[in-house]
Amino acid sequence: MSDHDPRRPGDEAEEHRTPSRAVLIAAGNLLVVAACVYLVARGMLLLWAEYKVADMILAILLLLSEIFVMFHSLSFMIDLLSAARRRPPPIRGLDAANAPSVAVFVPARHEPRDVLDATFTCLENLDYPNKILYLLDDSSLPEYQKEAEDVAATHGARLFRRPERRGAKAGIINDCLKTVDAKYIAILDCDQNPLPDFLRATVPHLEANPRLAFVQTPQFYTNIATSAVAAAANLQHCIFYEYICEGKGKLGSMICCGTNDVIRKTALEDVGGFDETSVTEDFSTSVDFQMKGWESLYDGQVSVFGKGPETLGPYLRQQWRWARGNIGVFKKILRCLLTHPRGMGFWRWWDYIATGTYYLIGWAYFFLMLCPIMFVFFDIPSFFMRPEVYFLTFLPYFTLSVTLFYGSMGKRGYKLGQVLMAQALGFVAIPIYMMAAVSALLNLKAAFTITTKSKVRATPLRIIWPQVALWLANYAAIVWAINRAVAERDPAILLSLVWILYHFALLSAVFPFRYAGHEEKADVDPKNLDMEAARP
Amino acid sequence: MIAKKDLLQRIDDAIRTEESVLPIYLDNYAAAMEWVEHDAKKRARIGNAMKRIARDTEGHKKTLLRIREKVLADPRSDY
Repeated sequence: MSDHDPRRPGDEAEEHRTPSRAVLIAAGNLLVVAACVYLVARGMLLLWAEYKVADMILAILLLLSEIFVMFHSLSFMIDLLSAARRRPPPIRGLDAANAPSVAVFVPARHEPRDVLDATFTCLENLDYPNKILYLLDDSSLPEYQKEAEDVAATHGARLFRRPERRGAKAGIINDCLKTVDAKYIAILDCDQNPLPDFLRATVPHLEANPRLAFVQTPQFYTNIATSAVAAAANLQHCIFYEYICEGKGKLGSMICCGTNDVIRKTALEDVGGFDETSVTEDFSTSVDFQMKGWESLYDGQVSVFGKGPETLGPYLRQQWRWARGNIGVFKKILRCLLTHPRGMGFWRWWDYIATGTYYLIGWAYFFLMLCPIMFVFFDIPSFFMRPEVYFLTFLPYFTLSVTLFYGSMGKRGYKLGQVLMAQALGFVAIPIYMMAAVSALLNLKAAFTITTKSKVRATPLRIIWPQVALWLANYAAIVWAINRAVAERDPAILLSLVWILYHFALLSAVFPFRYAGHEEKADVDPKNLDMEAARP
Repeated sequence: MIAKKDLLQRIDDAIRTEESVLPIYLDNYAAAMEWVEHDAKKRARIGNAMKRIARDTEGHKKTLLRIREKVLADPRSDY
């Protein structure tokens, strides 16, 4: 750590904040055993069951969903295990007289002046001697172009524009890259405020290892007091950056997150620049780095503060883009795996596949939600398990995975309520993940756009109708399940009711989230209907 | 070579940056403080970081003001 180290809130003694490695290894083994016991029992009973075609289809989809969730639980466990390894001491210290040149890129399009001013004020204050600031302005409206010119002039930044827009953020970075001869490129989104030592903390890593393509640092949202959406989104970020990325970093499979990173220019040129065909160009380009043998590094200290989505509309739109992009990149990962299986080691493939498939969780949760509803209403069975067998085989896996997840979050001081809020926000995004998955897998050009008028009191129902429809379906199922449970006294109905209540509770969060952040903010500012609509 | 006028302009710009950057850092840290409200250790750590960054910024500003006075008092017109 550098002398000037105010960074991650409470980041001291990282290793003491994750459960000990021995405990994790034991828990991990138990988790694998418990999952296997459950899946074997489920599989066997499914084979022996008497069923109709419709039952069987639903049962197989449910089993696949469970396997998918278990795969991701295991991936999280592996990341936790890796994160618990002692981190090598950070490489710090830089000879100021010979500091390598860094071009700091801030891509922007139709951004408010005050946001850009704050970012460039912090960039000017970076205590790095050999930096050149670039404002990559992709605005097409004259008033924003004028503001960008003013911002660049005020803060001593170079303004980069191009005659023709293509490839959105990736495109403008690639275009600007051709005009720059700095050794490293730092990329920051336009609402990210770096601390003074951001470059001094990251560049030494790249100087120490010539095969290192990039150093990624975390994002931390500071507008958490503004709305519950921003606070929940920040906790989702904390789970990602404090556990998953720590694990990925130690497995050597860290992905580039598109902001708050410093990239070696020659590495970026080696892979042909950022992938302009993907809406998550950062993840896609990370695959290219790996396949070309470049290394990656995660520096878990918060060096940059940023802003998260404050209302549900922009949050869902962000999730759409990430889901659409990641699943699209998953197809690329599969192609690479089939054509160049030795391109990465086993655990890196595992990690990349886990990242690429994560957003299919929408479909997995949908089937998990659908099956108990179908059973309650139409008696369509999908478990083919007696409740007592279900409890005996499922409970050990469930208890272990839940204890590990909440326990590890508790170790870092996160409250149960905070974690549940983050989970609920993710649950609300299920329909978005489902649509994005279909769009990505079928290569559809559809984009999730929101065209709300600038001032509204809540996210309009026409945007969240799928969530409301699911909520209503669960509500109706609860009423019917209670009715049946009283009349029939069937434990299978009670079991279904428990799951439906759980899903109903999580989905109910759509209503408070719908109003969150709307006191001061528009759901979306029409001028910011940005990059993805124009992507190839 | 740099003209005295241009040098003074650069120093003024640097002073302006120091003055405007501190509230941004402190706002961000205040949010981080709120995030870790339940954890006294983390709060203390962020509090120290806030003090340090305020002290550093103030120190930089004082240094720049001293340099500015020296440049103003210097009879040379170019550097």
